[in-house]
Amino acid sequence: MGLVVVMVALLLGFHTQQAGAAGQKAAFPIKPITMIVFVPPGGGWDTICRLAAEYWRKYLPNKVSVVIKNVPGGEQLIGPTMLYNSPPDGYTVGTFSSGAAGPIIAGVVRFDAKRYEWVGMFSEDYYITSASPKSGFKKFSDLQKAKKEILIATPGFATADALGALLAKEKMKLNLKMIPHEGSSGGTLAAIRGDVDLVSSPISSMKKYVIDGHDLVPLWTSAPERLKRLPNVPTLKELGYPEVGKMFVLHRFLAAPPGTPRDKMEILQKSFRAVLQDPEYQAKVRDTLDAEINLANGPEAGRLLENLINLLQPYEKIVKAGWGKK
Amino acid sequence: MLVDILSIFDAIQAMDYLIIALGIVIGYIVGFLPGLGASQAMALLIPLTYGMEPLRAILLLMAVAGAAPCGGSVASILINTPGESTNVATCWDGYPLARQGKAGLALGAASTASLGGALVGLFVLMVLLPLGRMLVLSFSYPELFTIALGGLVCIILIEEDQLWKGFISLALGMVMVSIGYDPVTGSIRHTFGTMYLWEGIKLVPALVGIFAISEGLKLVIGDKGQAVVKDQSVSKARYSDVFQGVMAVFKHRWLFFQSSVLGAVIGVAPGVGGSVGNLLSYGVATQTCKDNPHFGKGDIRGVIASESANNSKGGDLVPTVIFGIPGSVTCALLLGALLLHGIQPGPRLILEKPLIIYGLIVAIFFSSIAASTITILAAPYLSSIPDIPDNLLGISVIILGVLGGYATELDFNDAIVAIVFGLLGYFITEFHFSKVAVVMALVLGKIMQVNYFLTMDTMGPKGFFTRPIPLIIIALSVFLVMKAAYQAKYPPEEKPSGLPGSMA
Repeated sequence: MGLVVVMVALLLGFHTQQAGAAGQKAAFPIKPITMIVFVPPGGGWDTICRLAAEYWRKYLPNKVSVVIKNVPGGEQLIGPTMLYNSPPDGYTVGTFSSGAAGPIIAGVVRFDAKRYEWVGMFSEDYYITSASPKSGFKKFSDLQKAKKEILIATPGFATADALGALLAKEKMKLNLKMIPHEGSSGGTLAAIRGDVDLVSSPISSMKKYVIDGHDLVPLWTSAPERLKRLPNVPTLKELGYPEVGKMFVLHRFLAAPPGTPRDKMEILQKSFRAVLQDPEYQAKVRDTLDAEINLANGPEAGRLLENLINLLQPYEKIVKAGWGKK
Repeated sequence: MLVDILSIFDAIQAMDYLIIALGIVIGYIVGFLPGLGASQAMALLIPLTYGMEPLRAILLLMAVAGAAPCGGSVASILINTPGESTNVATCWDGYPLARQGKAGLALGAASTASLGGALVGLFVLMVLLPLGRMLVLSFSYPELFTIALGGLVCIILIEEDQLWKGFISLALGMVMVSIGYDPVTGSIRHTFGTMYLWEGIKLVPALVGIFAISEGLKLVIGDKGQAVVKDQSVSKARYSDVFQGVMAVFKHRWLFFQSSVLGAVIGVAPGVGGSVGNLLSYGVATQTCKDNPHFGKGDIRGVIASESANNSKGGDLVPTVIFGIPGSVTCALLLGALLLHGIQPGPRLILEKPLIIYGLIVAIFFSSIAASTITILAAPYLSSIPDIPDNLLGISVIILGVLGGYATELDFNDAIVAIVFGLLGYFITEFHFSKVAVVMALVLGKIMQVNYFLTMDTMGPKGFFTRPIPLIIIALSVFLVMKAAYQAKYPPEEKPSGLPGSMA
């Protein structure tokens, strides 16, 4: 018995020595970080957040865990509003979408987007705009020649799809009529059925219908270069509309409340960047989610959002009308 | 496919059976608890599945989804609290039966109908998969609008002598549907300045309130001429009562088939899942069962109709598997889980990874059988719950209801909604209006509104009259309403006492 006590004491002492040798625990973070996700569980956003959360744990000091808190509702605005009002102690972060540019311009948001601190971006999704096979449209010039209204399915005015469609109508001078659906899948099915003529979706959702299958006819993509698997589909840049291309991108931002201290932001940004550079994370994002990695640092991400808002500013009246405001 | 499916049993190991069992237990429990459902459980389990093989993860998640409806039906019957939104219509006759001391009968029928419905749903899935594409694409805006309309018409018609009260209840439900952000006009309506109401009234807290909390209030405040009287003479149910319930499903086999096929077919329409299926099936049953109908007062056929339809996961899986577009919330989570495990849902899934599809089917198969068996075996013990003194039961139900409302998304506002609806439900019953109509309007009203405008914007009014399904439903609805109006004016020979007056 005595021998056991001695052994245990020795082992404990050995362990403590080891810990002591490894140095002090880092000062931040010392408890789990909450990530506010503005959609219910399931679906593209939630999936990538959970993925990123798993990897972030590896790179955060003290290997703290990241806990997902789903705060859906309010056209994806309740989550960011809650984030905006959360204590800026570095233990709360949250999702923010480039689609929020719409409600920001419409003046319906309860936060000042310029004041967020930006951690980085989960990924960027480029879009493909496709036509229903029943519409007869095979390429962009067909749309320009169309005699009657072209019906395009869009989700609500807080998404990149809808804002992209708006810019497409204005800048490409197309006779588009927006048919609002509740989510993007409803619009996609409507296009397959032929009830609408056009629909846009991120590549990850659209590829099932234009690459793996042929339910829809791809017209253009907002990616910077032609997609390898769709070599005949032009980019918006090639067609001469780079600005429309900029709007048809879903930037998935990760933000922190205004006033989060500089030193904590640096730790969050650096560790998050390590996630983005993790080859496994990159492979999952690129291969399974068909999205791109954008290594923009905090301030750069903020500027990206500002540019999008500026791009949309001239169309303030139309965006406001889309929110039922005069 | 039927033969290929057997190959799954080579892939499943002993550990996988344990995992399925774990999923069944979790699913049953969350199904029972008001406010919590399969979707919350699945969301919490998904991170735990990261280290698992994709097949094992799918088996776990679908076992949860397959067991939950049966757990939900137990709560609906015993404490008038829909465990999930797919169990709402089960309350309407299941709970009165429990109060009459016939809980065993109701539980037996519900579990058998639920199991049968799941099997029919799976069969439909397997048969339809080749045809599925055409079926999913045949559900367009006019079809969805008229299906929802048809459901509402059926429910109104139950209120034969108090038609106006039914209409008012319906109108109340429709007004509540208008709350929130309207994608058509972009306006934000009736939100009282809060962001919480932007997406409208959340269904689960409203249901928990209008059924559980209002019933709890009724139990506590006291019986003042309520329609459902408790039969004190019958105590603990025996297995013979439960067995009678099981046999009832066989006795009413045509109703069962009608309801389960309806549930499966409705499930095929994307975004319209079991929550609509059970309501529609109930509505249709009220119109097709004309033999001594006492719906709302403990007609076992109401329980059969609801439970046969709500578990048709097979139907929900059709658009999920074929298009990668979820047929219901649980399917959306399933898709998310597949993505996280590096599997692309979509048209190619059945070709490239058939084992995943077979795994889904097998998990639902086992979990449905297990959940029904648990209910049948535990029925005599469960059925002593209604024997608890009224005020104690009432207070427990109110507390469970408020907590359940909160637990849905850990949002305090949801608990408030539950309480408000609890009060609303209490007064609706006091003044003999129709809770059923309010709920139907809440669920179906949104579908009607959205699809009405979509039809008008894309096809114009002719969309409703130039397509076969909408045309048939509209014609039938007009016929049934006119028939009811005629019968109200010129009543046929004396009716039996089973005329539903007020709805519980």
